[in-house]
Amino acid sequence: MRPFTYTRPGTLAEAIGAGRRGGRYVAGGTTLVDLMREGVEHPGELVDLSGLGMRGVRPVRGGGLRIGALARMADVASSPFVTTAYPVVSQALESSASAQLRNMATIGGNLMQRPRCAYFRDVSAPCNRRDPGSGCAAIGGENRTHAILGASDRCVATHPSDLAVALLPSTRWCTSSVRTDGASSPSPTSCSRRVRTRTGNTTSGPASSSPPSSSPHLAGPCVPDTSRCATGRASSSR
Amino acid sequence: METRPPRSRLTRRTFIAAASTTGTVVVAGAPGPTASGEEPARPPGPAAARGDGTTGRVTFTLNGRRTSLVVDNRTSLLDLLRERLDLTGTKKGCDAGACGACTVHVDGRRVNACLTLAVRLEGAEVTTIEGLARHGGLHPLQRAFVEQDALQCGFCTPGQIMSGVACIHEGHARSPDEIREWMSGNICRCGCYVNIVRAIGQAARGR
Repeated sequence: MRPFTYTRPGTLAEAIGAGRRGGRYVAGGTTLVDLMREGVEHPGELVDLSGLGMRGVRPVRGGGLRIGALARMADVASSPFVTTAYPVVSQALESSASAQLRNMATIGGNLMQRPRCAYFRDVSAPCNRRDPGSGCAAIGGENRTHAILGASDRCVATHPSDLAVALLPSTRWCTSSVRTDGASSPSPTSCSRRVRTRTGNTTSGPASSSPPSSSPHLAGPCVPDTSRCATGRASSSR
Repeated sequence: METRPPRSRLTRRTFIAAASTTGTVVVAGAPGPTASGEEPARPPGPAAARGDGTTGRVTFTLNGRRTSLVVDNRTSLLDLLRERLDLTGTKKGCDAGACGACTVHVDGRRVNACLTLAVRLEGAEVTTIEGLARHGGLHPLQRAFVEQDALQCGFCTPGQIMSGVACIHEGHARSPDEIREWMSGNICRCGCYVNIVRAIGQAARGR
């Protein structure tokens, strides 16, 4: 792992500033630390979001839940608001990883995590996700568990989140809190039944290059939009 | 119970390390900070140990004792425990969050120490297997592991026990099936799962 500087901002404004100057956000760290150790990620600065709060789970007027981007998976899975109204979300979360990892990983990080494709993690292999333009070793490689539908000719990795799968068919979901360009976010109603690819990655800083489009990913490094500070809204579909 | 061996004590680890680096056996107190924070006080915030901001001071509670030291930002809690604080009960298995051998408690929750950057632990309360037994006696789950013969080689055992204690505390030890599900983050290559589940069940029932 390459050396990096570390900051732990106490306010959202500080965190945004750190992201804009190139810092990489870290929340639970369960993926990012691993990728840094593998040499896939090598940020010069880590910006620790753990001092920002945003861990709450609460119902919103008119139906739905507001889940803090930094809420831990274990806490959301066991929240009575989730277990009673959205048991599929709770079950999906508890199907993920292990109890230890669910105690560390956050909802924002889970939804925006990097691909689990073996070629993404193998720095000797071409990968458009890791190194845009280099190609995709999974196409024509070991891709038995990769995407059949919704993939592109640039990437066939599937999204690794069990939670995302549970959210898509049964909920209206919006994590439109963060944008790469700092522009205002799309309204929650504009992104029903899908997670917008323009939303933020709590484990990524500003983009150094554009990831491939038209592939089944949640991606797009970003800077938080202060007006909707990193919370998601899940509402019952009608 | 001795929870932290004196740094000058000859151990397999210090013997091998000294012999492999010098060609001779040197037994002496290693330099560096101790877990009790015996380094000279420094101002809080990122330390200037290397002058480039890639190290930082972190202060946290480790097994009930305040610990303050400067770490390379890259240092995992696992490596900090094992390589600098001589708390080698916490084991390194996969070093990728998959095997559970490094399970410790941070602020009362079980986590993988291998994926926890030490510099992020400011103000945290950390408990390792060395801090589990209090007042000179084994923790009930440690006793249950002995009584149920819940180990063979023992490498995964500290992680199993730390995870098992949390599993019981979380209320996820009400049946063997539930224990198996909620202990799935801890792998035992010797295959002692049957007795591990029995031990956790025994401790959960308070026997």
